[in-house]
Amino acid sequence: MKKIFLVLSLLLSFLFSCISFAAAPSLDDGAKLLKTSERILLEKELQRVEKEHGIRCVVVTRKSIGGAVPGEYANKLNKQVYNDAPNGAILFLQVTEVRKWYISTYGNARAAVVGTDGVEYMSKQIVPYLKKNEHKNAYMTFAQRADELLKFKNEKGEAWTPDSQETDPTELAILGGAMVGIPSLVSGFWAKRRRKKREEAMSNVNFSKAADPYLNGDSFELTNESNKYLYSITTTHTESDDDDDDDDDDGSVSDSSSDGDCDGGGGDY
Amino acid sequence: MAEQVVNYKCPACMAPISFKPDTDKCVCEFCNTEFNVETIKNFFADKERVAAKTHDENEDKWKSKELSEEFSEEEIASMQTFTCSSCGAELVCDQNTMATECCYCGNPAMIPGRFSKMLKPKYIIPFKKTKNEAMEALKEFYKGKELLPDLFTQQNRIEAIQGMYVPFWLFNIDVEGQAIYKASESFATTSGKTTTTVTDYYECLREGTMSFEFVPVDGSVKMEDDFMESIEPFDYRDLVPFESAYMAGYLADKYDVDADTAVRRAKERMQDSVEKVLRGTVTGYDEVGETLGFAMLCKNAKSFYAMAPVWIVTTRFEDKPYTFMMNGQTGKFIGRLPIDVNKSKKLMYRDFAIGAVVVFLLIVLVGFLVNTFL
Repeated sequence: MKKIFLVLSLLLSFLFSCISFAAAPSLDDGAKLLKTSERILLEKELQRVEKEHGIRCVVVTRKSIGGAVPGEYANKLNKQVYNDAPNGAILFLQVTEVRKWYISTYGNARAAVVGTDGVEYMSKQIVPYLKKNEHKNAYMTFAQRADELLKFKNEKGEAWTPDSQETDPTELAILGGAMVGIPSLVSGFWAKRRRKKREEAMSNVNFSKAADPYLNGDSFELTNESNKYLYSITTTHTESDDDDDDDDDDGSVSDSSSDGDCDGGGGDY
Repeated sequence: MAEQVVNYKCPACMAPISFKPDTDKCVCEFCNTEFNVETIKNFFADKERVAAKTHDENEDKWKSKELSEEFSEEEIASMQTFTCSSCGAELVCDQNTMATECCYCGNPAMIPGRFSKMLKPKYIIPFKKTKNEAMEALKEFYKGKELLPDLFTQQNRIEAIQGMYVPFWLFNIDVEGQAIYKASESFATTSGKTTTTVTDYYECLREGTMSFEFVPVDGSVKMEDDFMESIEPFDYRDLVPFESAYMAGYLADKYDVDADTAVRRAKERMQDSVEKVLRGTVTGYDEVGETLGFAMLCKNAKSFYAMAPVWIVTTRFEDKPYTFMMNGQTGKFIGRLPIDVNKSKKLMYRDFAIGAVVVFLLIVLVGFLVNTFL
């Protein structure tokens, strides 16, 4: 049943592209998530990226894909429908019924978004918008990040990796502050302690607090001891679930697939 | 007129004699003849008896005679004159001086009236350390003191180095102590992701008895209490019955803080020890916290008047006096050295720079290792 649905929907997409006697549109909002104004803006952005890099940059939304695997569905769309650009295609698929997303790459675009690193880099910025149902922002971000990765590939001749990511100026400032601040704080505390110790060492004159040396140790006798219960205090601590949710929350890639021509990754939102 | 002062002079050559540290002998500084303490005691016993009697007789006369003249009452109370039985010079002493030295002929001068009858100390710890050892100890004390002003060792002038027997009260006291402590123990149980900790609090009463022996409290107002407590402890195995011969060649003062006053300080110190001992019996808890109540009852208190040996070194640097003291028995050296503030600051800045570089490099190294291996 799933396969039949997949074939049918692909066929429909293909037929649609044939009927229009033109390339399939870069925005296929089957789930009707965007307003007209948003659609126009997004289409403009997608076309700009496509033109600049000679690829297809596509956003496809579906209410349902009939239980098909999003990765397979997206890859097939990419290969069979959006295969008309010289440098390949990059496609973002969102399935609202199952709250899944997938980014599929093909051709030169695949080389620019190698493996799950590139997909994860994009999705970490897209998924937060999806969670808040800010669809236009999510798709615009997709187009911009695709543009960024393709530019990187064109300029550097190699695909983007997390190591090649330019550091955020804020992060750089925090890092710099920490690199200067932590040593200053630690050494300042240490130097002050050393000074106090040095100054204390200049005098060994002190009052004796106790008379311990003069206590006859054998003379001590415990004549009475009693322990009376007073009260109890109960505290509870529950471990946070934050760690378990992190993978999904921040847009990490939980599904990935590669079928020879296409590559990509996706997850929940 | 009978003398109030007895000079300890060599029976052979009449030169001054003094007690030789770490021995049981007095030695003539001129002919080096050595005398047992017992010999000296017998030799000067009659003279001391007479001098003590004369002192008692003159004490009242002196007071009434001088009261109407130009000295104030306070001055009269703190100053008395004696005649050196050796050279006839006038010795000016305060009212507590037991033993001194004639500043003209250098003869040790004893004032037996100050250590006879009720004023006689029961014990004395004889000197074991010499003047030279005190000088060496002072030099040793300077060593490794980074903040000592450079000029201090070169320019400071030793004004005086004097062996002195300081009056101490030694207290033997039996104590009954009672204390209440707050203690707690915790139990933790885990169910799934929830950990429940139950902390039970208890009130622990402890009562016990113990004895303190020879708790020392200095009996001299002019000796600073913190200095006297810092040179402790004394080794009481060397405690011997008092003989004035041990004071030959040294200064000595009689007490001017009585036992009733001194015992308060002994009790303060004992209280701390009793509290600690009783606290140590509260076992089986995770934490023994604050003391909720404490009481101490002293019984069978006995006090002993004793003399303890102290070397006092006085130096002057930049017009300020600095006093150091050495336990004349154990050699423990104490004092307060001047601090070079600029040096202290410079060393702090140096430490800061070194520390900052080391911590920075450590952060870089940890970052590198994390990047490489994780």
